[in-house]
Amino acid sequence: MRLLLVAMLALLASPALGQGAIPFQDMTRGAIEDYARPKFAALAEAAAGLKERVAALCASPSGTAIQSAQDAFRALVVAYSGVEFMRMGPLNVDERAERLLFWPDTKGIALKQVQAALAQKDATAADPARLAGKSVAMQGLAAVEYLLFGTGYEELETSAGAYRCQFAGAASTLVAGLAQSLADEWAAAGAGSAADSMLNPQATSPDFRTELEVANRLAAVLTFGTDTIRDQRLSPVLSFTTGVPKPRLALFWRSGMTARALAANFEGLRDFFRAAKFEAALGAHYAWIADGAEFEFSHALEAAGKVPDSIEATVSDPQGLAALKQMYVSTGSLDTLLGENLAGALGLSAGFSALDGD
Amino acid sequence: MWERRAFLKAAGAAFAATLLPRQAAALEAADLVFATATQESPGRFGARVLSERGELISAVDLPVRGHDVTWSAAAGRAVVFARRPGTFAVVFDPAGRAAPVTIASAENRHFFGHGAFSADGRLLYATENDFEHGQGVIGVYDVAGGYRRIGEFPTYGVGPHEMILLPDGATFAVANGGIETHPDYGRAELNLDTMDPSLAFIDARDGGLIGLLRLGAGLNRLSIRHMAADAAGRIWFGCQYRGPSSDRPQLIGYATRQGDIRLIDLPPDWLEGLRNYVGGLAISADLGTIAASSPVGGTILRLDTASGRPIGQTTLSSTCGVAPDGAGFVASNGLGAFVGLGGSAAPARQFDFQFDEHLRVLAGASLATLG
Repeated sequence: MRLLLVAMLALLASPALGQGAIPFQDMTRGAIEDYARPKFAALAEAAAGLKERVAALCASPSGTAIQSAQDAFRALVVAYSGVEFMRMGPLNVDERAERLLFWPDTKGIALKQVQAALAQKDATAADPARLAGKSVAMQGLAAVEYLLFGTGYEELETSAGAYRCQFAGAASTLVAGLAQSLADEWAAAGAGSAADSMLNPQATSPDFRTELEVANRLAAVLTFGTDTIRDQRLSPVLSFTTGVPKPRLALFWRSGMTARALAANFEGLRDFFRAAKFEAALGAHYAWIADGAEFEFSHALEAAGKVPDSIEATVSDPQGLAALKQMYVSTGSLDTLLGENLAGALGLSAGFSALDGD
Repeated sequence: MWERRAFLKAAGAAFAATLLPRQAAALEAADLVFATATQESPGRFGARVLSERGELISAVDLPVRGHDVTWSAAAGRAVVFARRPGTFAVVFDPAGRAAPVTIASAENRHFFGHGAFSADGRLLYATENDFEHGQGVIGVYDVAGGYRRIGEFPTYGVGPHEMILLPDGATFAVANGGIETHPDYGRAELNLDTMDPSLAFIDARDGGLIGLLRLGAGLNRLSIRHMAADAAGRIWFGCQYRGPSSDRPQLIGYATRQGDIRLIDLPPDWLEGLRNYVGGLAISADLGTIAASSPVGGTILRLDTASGRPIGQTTLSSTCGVAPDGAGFVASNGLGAFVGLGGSAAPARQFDFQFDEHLRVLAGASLATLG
């Protein structure tokens, strides 16, 4: 019924260019100050925490130290999932996003490369400087997860796992270094900074030439997020083409973080939506779009809360499976609201142009 | 054609009435007819046939976003393909006098959004994904047989996007974008680290490979997507770069059946506006000018085909659709604008629907050839 109402209103509402009730610059400032800066700072802190705990594990291996490193990894996954869709500015430079997380990885490249390094005790993978020059699949969260949770992780409890631990230490060091760079670059405010390029677009800038370009990219963060959750996180697990769920295609299944990462994804997008003041920009006339998005975010979060930590158990549990499907449905509704409806209302084209490869 | 005729006979009265007098008059008066996929309002999609003055000639509804429209004067039909990973294509009569026919994608295949008719209009070809094997194929459909799928050819690459029939009427050029996708992953790109884009020349009669051309080493993240053929036998192509956004590789080049493939050197100022992304390519009516559009950069660039030099740049945000008119080009955008450029006399117009990514001229479309 609600969706029908949305559709009817959408027919009645005429798109009006730049009808936003607040200036685009207020949105940009909000996205930087209330989202990017605190979230990337939290990411850097969580990554530093992991680096520290893994170093402690390597220095004195024990079951407790493993647990402590695993907890730090889980906290990092939450921090990362809350900010990973902010693909404008620092995270959009070089191959940083892939270095942090090599995904989707349909051919299991990360697994093969990490296992090969473990088998050979490849010294170059245990040294951060040399690991940085190797495949990105061996450097990020997927690699660290396998080392801390994957087959044979128990060897970390004794000196038998020394190599594995050093490899995890090298990868954690790279993740922490990159996360700190992201936080620093977002924190910078002077000429040439990421914030400056967004707040003061210039005709000659390689980043943003106009405020409208910035606004389009802000809106694209939302659709990139909902599309990524649906296409890279939920859809492979649900596998509609075969009708047989594939839990091992889930991100972070080894650490039992699949559902909590999804929850952090939705929460992060909601935080971004609020920080960038989309509701104010939409104004009273288009309040139904913001209301609809808030409704879908809470619906998706509620569903994420019903998914057990073990994704393998989830797919054989009718309630868990239904919750995954519910999140899938929510991504579709959010895509319509935050792509087509929002773009139409704000005079943006983010939801309706070839920004993603056609 | 018996099926279609029988069908039209049965339903003729109703469909003949679809072309309203005003639209028939628009078609009659039109020098040029364009077709495009559209978003009619948020969440409502379709395809439209318009005169160069922007008058509506006909329209079809689509359940999801469409992508390119291909047309055959010989068949008197246009086809709009669903956007990748699309599971249908809709064949329609641009004059609106026959019921649309929907083609469903074959099992374990989906459409990529582009296709082409054979020169005689008897066969329809579409770029498709054999997604379980990660290989591109061209699906072959029998027009007279109710668009039954009668076979397929390989594209000799991964992730084919646009295919065009060359002026010889016997060769296809296919842009193998090189990017692997699988419907279980929606539109996610699965092999950016091992991309292998190519441009294939394929014999239209038997699907045999005539030549497979690749850009040089270090350019494997340059996805070849769209093409247009010029008078000298060059197949111009436009690319989308999937590497670091701080890079600025060249994006436009040409290939020949003789095996030459090269990127032209656009000066940095001209290249910058494309923002590493060419979304559409068109060649002028005199085959002397190429237009390349970038929705990311909000730019349309025109190049002289003989020298490869840039000759003009037009700013139009969210633009992608570009097509030749008599004197220059017309372009459309995702905000409802339709403008002339590069010598075109077409007046700028604003519509209450949004243009999707491609705009096509239905060459030779008139009341005489339609319906």
